[in-house]
Amino acid sequence: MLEIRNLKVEIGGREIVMIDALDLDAGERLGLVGESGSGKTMSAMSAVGLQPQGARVTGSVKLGGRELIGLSDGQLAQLRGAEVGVVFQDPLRSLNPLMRVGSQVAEPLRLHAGLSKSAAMERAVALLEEVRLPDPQGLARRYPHQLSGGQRQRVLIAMAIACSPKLLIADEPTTALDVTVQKDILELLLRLSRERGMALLFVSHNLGVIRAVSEKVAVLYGGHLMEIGPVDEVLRHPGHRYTEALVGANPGRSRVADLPSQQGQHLTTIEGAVPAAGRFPSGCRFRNRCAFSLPGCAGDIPQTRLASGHIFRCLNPAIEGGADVAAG
Amino acid sequence: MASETAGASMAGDIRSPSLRQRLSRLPLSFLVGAFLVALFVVVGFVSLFWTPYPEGALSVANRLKAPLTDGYMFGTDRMGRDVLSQVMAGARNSLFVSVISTLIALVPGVLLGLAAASARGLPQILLSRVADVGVALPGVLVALVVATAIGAGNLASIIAIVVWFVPLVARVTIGPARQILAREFVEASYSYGRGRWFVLFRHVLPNIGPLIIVQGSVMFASAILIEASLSYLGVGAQRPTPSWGRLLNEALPLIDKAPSLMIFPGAAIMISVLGFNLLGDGLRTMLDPQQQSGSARIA
Amino acid sequence: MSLLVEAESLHFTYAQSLPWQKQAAEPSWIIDGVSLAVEAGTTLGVVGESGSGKSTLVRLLCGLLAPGKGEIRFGGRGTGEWLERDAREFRRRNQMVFQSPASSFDPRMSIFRSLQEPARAIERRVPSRQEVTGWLERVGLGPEVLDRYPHQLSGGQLQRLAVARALSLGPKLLYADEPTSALDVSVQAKVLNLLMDLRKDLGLTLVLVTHDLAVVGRICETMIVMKSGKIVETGATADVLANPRTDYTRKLIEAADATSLF
Repeated sequence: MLEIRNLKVEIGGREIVMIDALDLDAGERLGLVGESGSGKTMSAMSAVGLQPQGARVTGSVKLGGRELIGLSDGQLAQLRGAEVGVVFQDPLRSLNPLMRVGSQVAEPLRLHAGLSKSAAMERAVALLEEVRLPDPQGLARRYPHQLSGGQRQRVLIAMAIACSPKLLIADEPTTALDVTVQKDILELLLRLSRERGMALLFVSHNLGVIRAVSEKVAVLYGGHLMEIGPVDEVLRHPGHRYTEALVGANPGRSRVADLPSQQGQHLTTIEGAVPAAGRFPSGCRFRNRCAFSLPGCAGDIPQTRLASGHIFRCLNPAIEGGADVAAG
Repeated sequence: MASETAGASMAGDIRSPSLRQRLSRLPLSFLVGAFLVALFVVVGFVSLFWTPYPEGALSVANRLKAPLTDGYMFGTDRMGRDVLSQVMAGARNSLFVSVISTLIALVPGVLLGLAAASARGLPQILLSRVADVGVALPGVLVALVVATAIGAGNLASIIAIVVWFVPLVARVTIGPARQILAREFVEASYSYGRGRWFVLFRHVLPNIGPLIIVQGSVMFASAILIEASLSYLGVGAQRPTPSWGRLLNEALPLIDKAPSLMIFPGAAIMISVLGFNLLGDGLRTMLDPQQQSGSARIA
Repeated sequence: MSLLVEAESLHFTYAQSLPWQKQAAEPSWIIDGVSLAVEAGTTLGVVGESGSGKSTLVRLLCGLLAPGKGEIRFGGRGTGEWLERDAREFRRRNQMVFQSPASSFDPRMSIFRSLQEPARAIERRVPSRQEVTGWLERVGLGPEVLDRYPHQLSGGQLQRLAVARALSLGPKLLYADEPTSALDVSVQAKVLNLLMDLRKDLGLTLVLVTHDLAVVGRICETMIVMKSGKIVETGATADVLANPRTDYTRKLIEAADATSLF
């Protein structure tokens, strides 16, 4: 349903993002994971025309067969309301403080679905109920500042799914929330995706959050895809060394009750720091910081494809390649 | 453990940029503003030593000459005094009054602002209210009161402007100062036992310095206007002290016979005020986004 | 093992009443009756969600805030007394690392100057470049950062510098308020490893405030759970995480497990 090929985002002549291939089937949930400077937000936003000013986006992004790159701003805006929903990180900034919550949820319905004011309001209340907000009628009449962070995020989600989009893009939607609230929001997104058959593109720096919500995970570093595959497989048997390091650096590798037995053990760290845009090495972007890099890493690196759909580009991976080793 | 350096610093130029390149990077408002201000300052300074004709020299025979006649570039007023010379001398007076009053006002203003920003409870409320009330005072009224008390003249103007500016500066200082005080390095400083005023002078002031400089530039513009207004009203500089405001006042009854008498001092006021405002704008542009390049990345 | 820090019935609130305001019968306390004890040489995790008061608690213990009611004792002596008679010694022994690395340094001071601050303020002396370089080595950084300014360095570097600065005078007790929340996970790992090592090498007592139960599980031997200014659970980490006694703790554990990797 979503096909991304050679998506390149440049700012000031510097290549920030270069995604060779990324696919999302209808109803599938993909997590895009990366640390700061990985380009994950830039990629997701640029795919639907929300790139920052001055950014140049080339390549191909097809939604349901329709090419998005090259569409006018107006067409993209129309698309974003009707077929793609976007949930941003900071609900307080995304909501109009002067408008009642119900009206804000009703807005996309009036704009894109052409509903009348009362019909849209009715649908809005129904949506607020679908996102499990208490007393939807009453809440619809409140203003954003009267809601808690978690409630505001639910409102944002309601707005994003209002026109029953095929794809929901969520950019770090739970980063600013408490863990208990985060759990609820993640469950909500999971449920909505399943019930509505809605695909989910979930962007986060937190591997654990990605795992909770996604079926597939794509690992980004320096704007390039390092690895992609079924989430449990990638986490348990990472191919690319960066993914391996990322997993090893995470303190929450098992249930918390099991963690104290590992006290005293170091977490995996990565040498060096993320270079500034435009200063990444040739070939594998990660090779200067990789403890396992080989001389060949400076050139083109073929893909290793496993039968399960687990793909990575690494000459010295953490696991053996599968039956198909495609040059690519 | 191998040492690390972040790749945050931009790749430097191979040769250092030429003067033209460096100038072109500055915002236009700054360049134009700086030019106008420089003009103003130079003219004022030169008038100390030389003006086309002696400033106050009367020459009734040559009264009300039009501009560019008989060697009078800007013409003469109703007593035959050369307008150009008076305008130049007026620049000097404006410069004098605005610089002195602004600088004098900055010190107590900033101190008041810093004190208010770092105070708690009752003192904080009181200090903030002083600043607010001060801003609400009508400046002209204050000037009239002062002039009545000590007599009209530059001193009255200066005092009036200072009284007007101090609460203004305080108000402008409080916001940014509070923002800095909320930062964690201030907490750290307190945790080392540093006192309130050490923190204010050593941490807060350097960080709000640029803002104050920008504010100062805009205040110079205001001061020029206020001085001109007060002189126009007869409360500021009296003869023989030159002043653009007073020139305007004297030109008023002759507005249909000799409009140039009004135009030149008026233009002078406008240009100098514009210059300082542009300079302040340019400084503000230069000082803010600069902090963004190479900002700390959380990575 | 001796008790290094003790708190008894701590109460604290920010709101100060002005002379013309009536005192509420009982103001709403941000810290509402907290008692705890920290043994020397251990690592205590302070866990809670936003608004639980965990950050306020460590600021009270560290001496940055004064309690409204209750007592804090450091090495057996009240902190009030410490701050009156031996403030410098108290500050020398208690240091803090804050949440936002970018905010922890004065943007107008060079790193070298910033690192000298504790020694200048507390010991009234100016440490030499050589000495400061020694501190940098402890956190794995080289002397070239000394002449840089905060905006030129990354979050991970700055946080490690904050640790170096805090340890410069050899404190007994290090408070860390969410030291890694603002950092990427691979950078967080560096800082956590560093804290683990320093704790071992220097015999440091560490009080770590975090919302991340996984971090507590990996690093802290004992932990307390805070909610609305009160401690709702306390004990050995292994114990609390395996057998939580309150529903709230259970909820936190469930939420953390929901986002574990396996």
